[in-house]
Amino acid sequence: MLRSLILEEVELEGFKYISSKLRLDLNRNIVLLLGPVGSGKSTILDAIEFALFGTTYDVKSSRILRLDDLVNDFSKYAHVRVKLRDLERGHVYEIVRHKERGKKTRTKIYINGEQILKGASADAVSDFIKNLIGLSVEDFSKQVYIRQRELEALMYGTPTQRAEAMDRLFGIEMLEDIFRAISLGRFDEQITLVELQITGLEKQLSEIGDTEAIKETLNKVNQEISKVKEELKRVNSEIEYYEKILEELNSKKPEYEKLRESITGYRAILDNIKLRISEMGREVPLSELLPKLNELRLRLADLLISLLAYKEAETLRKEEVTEKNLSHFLELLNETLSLVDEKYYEVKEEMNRLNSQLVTLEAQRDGYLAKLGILSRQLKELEPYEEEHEKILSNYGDVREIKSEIADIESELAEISGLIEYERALLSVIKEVVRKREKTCPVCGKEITDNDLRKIEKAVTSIIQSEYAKYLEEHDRLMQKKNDLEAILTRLEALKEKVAEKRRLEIELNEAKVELNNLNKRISEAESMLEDLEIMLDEISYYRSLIHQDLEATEKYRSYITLLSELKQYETKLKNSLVKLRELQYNPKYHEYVERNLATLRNNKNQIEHRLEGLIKKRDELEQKIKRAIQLREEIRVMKEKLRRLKEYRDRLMKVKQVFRDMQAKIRAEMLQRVANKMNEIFKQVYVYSDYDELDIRVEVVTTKEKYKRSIYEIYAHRTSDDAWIPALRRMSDGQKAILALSFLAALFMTTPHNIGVMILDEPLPNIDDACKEAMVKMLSKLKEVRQVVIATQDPRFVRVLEEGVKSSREEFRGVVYKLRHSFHGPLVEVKEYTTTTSTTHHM
Amino acid sequence: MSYPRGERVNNVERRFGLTELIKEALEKEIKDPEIKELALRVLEAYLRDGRKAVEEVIHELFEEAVGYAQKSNS
Repeated sequence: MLRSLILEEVELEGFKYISSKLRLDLNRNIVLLLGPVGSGKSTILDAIEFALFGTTYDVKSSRILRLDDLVNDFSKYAHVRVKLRDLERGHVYEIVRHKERGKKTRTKIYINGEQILKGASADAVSDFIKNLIGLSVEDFSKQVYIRQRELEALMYGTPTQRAEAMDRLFGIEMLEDIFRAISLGRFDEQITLVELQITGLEKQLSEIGDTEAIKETLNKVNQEISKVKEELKRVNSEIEYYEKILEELNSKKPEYEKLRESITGYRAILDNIKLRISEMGREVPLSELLPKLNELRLRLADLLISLLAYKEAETLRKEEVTEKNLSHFLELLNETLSLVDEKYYEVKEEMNRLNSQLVTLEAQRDGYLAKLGILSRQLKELEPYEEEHEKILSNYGDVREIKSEIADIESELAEISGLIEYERALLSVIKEVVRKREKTCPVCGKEITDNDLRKIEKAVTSIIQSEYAKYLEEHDRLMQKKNDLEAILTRLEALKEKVAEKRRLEIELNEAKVELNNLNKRISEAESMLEDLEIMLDEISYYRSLIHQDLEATEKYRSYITLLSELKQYETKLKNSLVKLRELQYNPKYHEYVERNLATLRNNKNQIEHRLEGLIKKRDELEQKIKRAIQLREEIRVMKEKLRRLKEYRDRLMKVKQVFRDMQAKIRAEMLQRVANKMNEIFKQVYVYSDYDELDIRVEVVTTKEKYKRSIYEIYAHRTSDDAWIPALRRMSDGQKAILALSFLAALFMTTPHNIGVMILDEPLPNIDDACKEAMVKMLSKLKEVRQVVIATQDPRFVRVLEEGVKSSREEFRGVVYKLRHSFHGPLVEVKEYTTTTSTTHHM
Repeated sequence: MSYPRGERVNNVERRFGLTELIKEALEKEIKDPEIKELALRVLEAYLRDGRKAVEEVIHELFEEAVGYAQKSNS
C-alpha cells in the first residue's frame, strides 16, 4: 500500500487563525489553496498535520509554542477532522482531534464510518496512526509537508546549511547531533592541566639534582656516622668505667669525712680533758670527804622524816657512803636534793596560799566591821519609832481594836444621820401644812384657825429645832472621833513597818557579829600555821645549803674521776677511728683525679654527639631528597599515565566522532545514490528548456576547523552549450534552482517508503516563471507515486498553471482551487473546480 | 477487534534501516574493538535519550579516565 493514502476531506473549527467551522473537500489530484498572507492557508495545512499526529512540527520543535496555542484565541476548543482514502483498498480513515485549553487532546478514529479503538490508550491510538501513515511528524514535515524554508535552505543556503538541510531531509541529522554531542573540551582541559602538573613536577625533580651523586654523598655520610658511633661507644665505655669508680669513691667519701671529723674532734676533746685535769691541781682528800658525807646522810634522813618522806629517809640511813658507791651516793644526794627542793617549794607555796587566805580573811573581817557600824547606826535611828509604836498600842490598842471602834462610831453616825433626816422631813411637812393653810386637822378633823396654825408652827419649829441641833452636835462629835482614830490607824500601820525593819536589822547585826567571830578565829589559825611553816622553811633552807656544799665537793671529786675515764674512752675511740680510716682505703687525691678525668671524657662525648647529630641531620636531608625524588618520579609516572589515559580516551572519542561522521557520509552517499537518479529523471521532465539536460549530486569532503572531515553537497548540472558540468546552485537562476530543489524533494518523496500519496507544498517556488510552474505541476501530476498535490500559495498564476495542467492531461484529472480571503471568523472561500473537461465556480 | 494496520515503516531507522545500517557499518568497518564498542555505546545512548545521554556517556568516560589514573596513583 505504498503511497496509497490521499486526503479526502479536512474540517476545522477554532484552530489557529480559523475560528468558525470550515470544511474543504480535498479529494482531487491537485488542491490549490490561494490567498494573501494571513488568510489561513498554512492553518489548513497545519490542521491536517495536527489531525494526523496530534501535534505539529512547529510545536514539537519549538521551545515557545505549546499545544494550547493551536486553539483559536476566540474559541474554547480546536476541533479538526481529516479523512484519508486508501486508493488501493478503498478504505476511508477518519481521524478526529478535539483539543481544549489545559486539557489533553481527545482522538477518535473511524474506518469506513465505524469507530475503532474506543477507550484505547493515547499510545495505542498514536501507534495505529503511525503505522497507517508510515511516518513520524518529523518525517512528515520534511518529506510530505514541504515548507518554504526547506526549499530556501536547499536553494540559497551556504554549503554547510545546505548539507544540514539535506541531512535533515535524509533523516541523518541524528549522526551530526551525536557527533556534536561528543564533546572533548573536558578532556582537552584536563590534558592541559595534567601536562602543566607534569612540567611542575619535573621542575621540582630537576631542582633536587643528581640523585646518584646524592646517594654517593649519603654513603660517605653513613660511613662517617659509623666511625663516629664507634668512637662514641669507646668514650661511653671509659665513662662507664670511671663512673663506677667515682660512684664507689662517692659512697666512701661521707664516711671518710665523718671519720676525719671524728678523729679531729676526738683529738680536740683529749686535749681539752688533759688541760682540765692539769688545771684541777690536786686530788680532793677522800678521807675527809667520806665522814662528812655520812654525817650529811644521817642529817638528811632526819630532815626527810620531818618532811614525812619516810621511805627516802630509810634509804639514806641504810646506804653508807664509800669510795666505791660515791657516784651512787651522788645520785642519791641529788635525788634527795630534788626532794628537799620540792618540799621547800611546796612549803613556800603553802605559805603563799596561807598569806593570800589571810589577806582575804582580813578583808572580809574589815567588811563585816564596817557593816556592823552601819547596822548599829540604822538601829539607833529606828528606836524613836518603836517607842511611839509602843505608846499608841498602850493608848489605843492594836489595829484590830481601833478598827472595831471606828466601826462602832460609823454605826452611831448612821443612826444619828437618820434622825437628822427625820427631823428635817418633819419640819418640811409642818411648813408645808402651814403654807397651804389647811382648815381641818388631818388627824381629828377639827377646824384649824390661822392663829392655831401660827401657834402650831411656832411650837413645832421650836421642838424640832432643839432636837435637830442636838443630833447635829452629836454627829459632829462622832465624826471628829472617827477621823482621829483613822489618823492614828494610819500612823500605827506606818510605825509597824518601821518596827519590822528594826527587827530585821537586829537579826542581821547578830549574824554579822557571829561571822566576824568566825573570821577572827580563822585568821588566828592561819597566822599560827604560817609561823610553823616559816620555821620549817628555815630548816629546809639550812639543809639545802649543806647539801649544796657537800654536793659540790663530791661533784668535784667525781669530775676528776670522770675526766680520767673520759680520757681513756676518747683515746680508744681515736684509735678505732684511725683503724677504720686505714681500712676504708679512700684517697681524696685519687677521687679528684677520677672526677677530672670523667669531666674530660664527658666533654669529649658531647663533642662527638654534636658531630653525630650534624651528620644524622645531613643524612636525613639527603635521604629526604632521595625520597622526594622517588616520590616525584612516581607522581610524574602517575601523571603521565593519567595523561596517556586521557589522551587515549580522547583519541578514542575522536575516532568515534570520525566514525559517526563517516557513517553520516556513507549513509548520505547511499541516500544520494537513491535520490540522485530519481531527481535527474524528474528534472528532465520538469525543466522544459534545453540549456541543461542532466543533474548530478556530488559530495565533497572538507576539513573543519576542529580537523574533522565533513561532507558538503554540490549539485551539478550539465550545460548543453559547452558540454560542461557546472555547480548548479551557483550558476542557475532562482527559477532553475527552485525546479532543481523541488525535483530533489520529489525524488526524496518517491524514494522513501511510506503510505502517504500526497505532497503538500507550502508556498513553493515563488520566483519561477509560469512555464516552469506549469512544468512542475505537470510533472507532479505525471508521477504515479504522487497521487495528490496540495499547494498553498499567494501566487494566482498557479491557477492558470493548474488550468493548463488539467487541460493538457490525457487522463481523468481533477483539480480544485480554494480562494481564501481575510475575515474575522475565518477565511471566506471561493471554490473553483477543474476537470479535464469542465470547470465550475461556487462560493462556500 | 480487528482493523487494518499500516506497514510498520514509521520511524527513522525502520524507514531507511538507518540504525541497522549504522550498526552494520560499525560491525563491518571498524577493526578496533574498543572503538567499535564505544561507538555502539554512544549510538545506543543517543537512541535511548538523545544528546543528553551521549553527554552522560562522555562524562562517564572522563571519570573513568581520571579515576583510572587516580586508582593507579593510589
